[in-house]
Amino acid sequence: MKKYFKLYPHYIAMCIKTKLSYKVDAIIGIVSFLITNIVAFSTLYLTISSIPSLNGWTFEKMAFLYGFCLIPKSIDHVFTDAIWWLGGWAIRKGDLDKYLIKPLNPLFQLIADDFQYDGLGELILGIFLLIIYGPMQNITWSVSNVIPLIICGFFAIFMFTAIKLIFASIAFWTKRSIELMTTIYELSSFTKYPINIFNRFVKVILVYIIPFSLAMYYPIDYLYRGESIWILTLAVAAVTILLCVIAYSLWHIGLKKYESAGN
Amino acid sequence: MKVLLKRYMKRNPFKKYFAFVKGGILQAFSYKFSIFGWIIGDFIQIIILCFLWIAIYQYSPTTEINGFTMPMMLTYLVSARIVSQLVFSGDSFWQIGEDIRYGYIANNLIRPIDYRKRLMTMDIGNFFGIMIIAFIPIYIVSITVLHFAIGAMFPTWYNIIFFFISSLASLLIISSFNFMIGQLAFFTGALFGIGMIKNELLMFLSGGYLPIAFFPEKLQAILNILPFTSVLQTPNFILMGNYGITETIIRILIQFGWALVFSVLASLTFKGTIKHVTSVGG
Repeated sequence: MKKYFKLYPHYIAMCIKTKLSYKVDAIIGIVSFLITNIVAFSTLYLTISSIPSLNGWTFEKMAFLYGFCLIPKSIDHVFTDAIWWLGGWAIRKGDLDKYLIKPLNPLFQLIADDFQYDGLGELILGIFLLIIYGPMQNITWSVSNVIPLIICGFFAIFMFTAIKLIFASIAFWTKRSIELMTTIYELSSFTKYPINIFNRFVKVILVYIIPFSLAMYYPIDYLYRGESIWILTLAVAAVTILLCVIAYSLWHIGLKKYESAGN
Repeated sequence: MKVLLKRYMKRNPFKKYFAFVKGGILQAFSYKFSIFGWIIGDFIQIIILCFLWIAIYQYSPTTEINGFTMPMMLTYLVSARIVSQLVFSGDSFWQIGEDIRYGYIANNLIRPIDYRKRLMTMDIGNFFGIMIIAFIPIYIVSITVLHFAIGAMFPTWYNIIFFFISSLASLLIISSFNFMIGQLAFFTGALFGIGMIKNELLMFLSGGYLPIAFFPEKLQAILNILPFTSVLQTPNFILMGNYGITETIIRILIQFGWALVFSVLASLTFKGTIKHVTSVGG
């Protein structure tokens, strides 16, 4: 385990060095994700500001929720973007071979292979939104509501990673699963809106099956309603750990089944 | 007669470009997989949009928001997403970008074919290809669903014809625009990022995410002078039957005006770019 902690900075440093050999490209990459999210956010602003409030949800409340959802999503984006590659074409091209010949955990090698700084654009906007809209909420900030929010956000990062890995691992059987992965990943967009505007079917999926809302929407909802977030935090932690176990097992079984392309 | 026809074909300068139109159509057909990926990716966004707007109208004190009723709004948003796939279907940006990046541009310039015309004719081909395999089936399904769900109107036959002309004009504008932006490949390799910035801003400013009527008034005034609204909102409104016949014709003329302006701009910038190519070659 210690070995991995030692190795990871080297992997990342190598990746950053390669990428920073084109500095302008790096900046454009970050700016592009920043702009994409600013456009999405402006659209939300223009949409919501056309009416006084959406079932008690003012724009300030939605903006804070938006920022909160962006942070775990972007952190996952920065560190584990290589998982997309597994669902996309790694299996068909037999590219996983290079991870199997080194005496290191193949999943570690896969994840450490990429440091996707593009996600920093989303992260910057997320933090910015929390700083701007946090004080505008009618909430007394204290340890008892900030800490559980941070914990929920922390687990949400791993929830993204686990869900991505589960659906990417399906590619071991189907050769390619990126379309399915995209659909499932896109479900996380639902969490940016008050869940009551969606019908029951969507709610059930987002709470019990692909539980993005559990980790990102409900903590904020509880916060606004002044309820304790601690029990929810426990549930989020338990569900995330379960998802991680499922994801790792699926990856492990798939990897055993994996045969390189060719012979 | 046959000989005459052959001679005519030989002289016809457009003939060689028809091959690229055909190539563009076939290229679009080969993208079946990515179109499938786009449908399921966009599908969730569209569902979210519909839920969100139904809720917005529920909590709105008036039945009309900025001149849009709920069925109109949903039809506009769904249709804008589908129309955007058609008018943004050109591949010029990537073609010129990669040609510059990998150096194929030099080869392309010595061929007895005008490079710009070639890319534009390929874009036209892509347009027809996407129209056949994606736009027509997806639009028919969506408008039928919207018709039975919220009473959206089917387009009239003449609006369909006007839409066709209008969206082709949009394609020409975008094709020149992409050609201009693609030349940035000389300065950076981050084509993916530039493409993303370009697409997002185009989509937003042309009314792809929201009708321009929802923008702040000052921004609306600026956007009405700029060409963006011509690109997506115009064909979409034509298809929805929002314009009378005279207004439709005026709007289409404005579109072709912009197509001309952008075409000239693209040619001018490309002249500068070609000089750059020779200077790099030594």
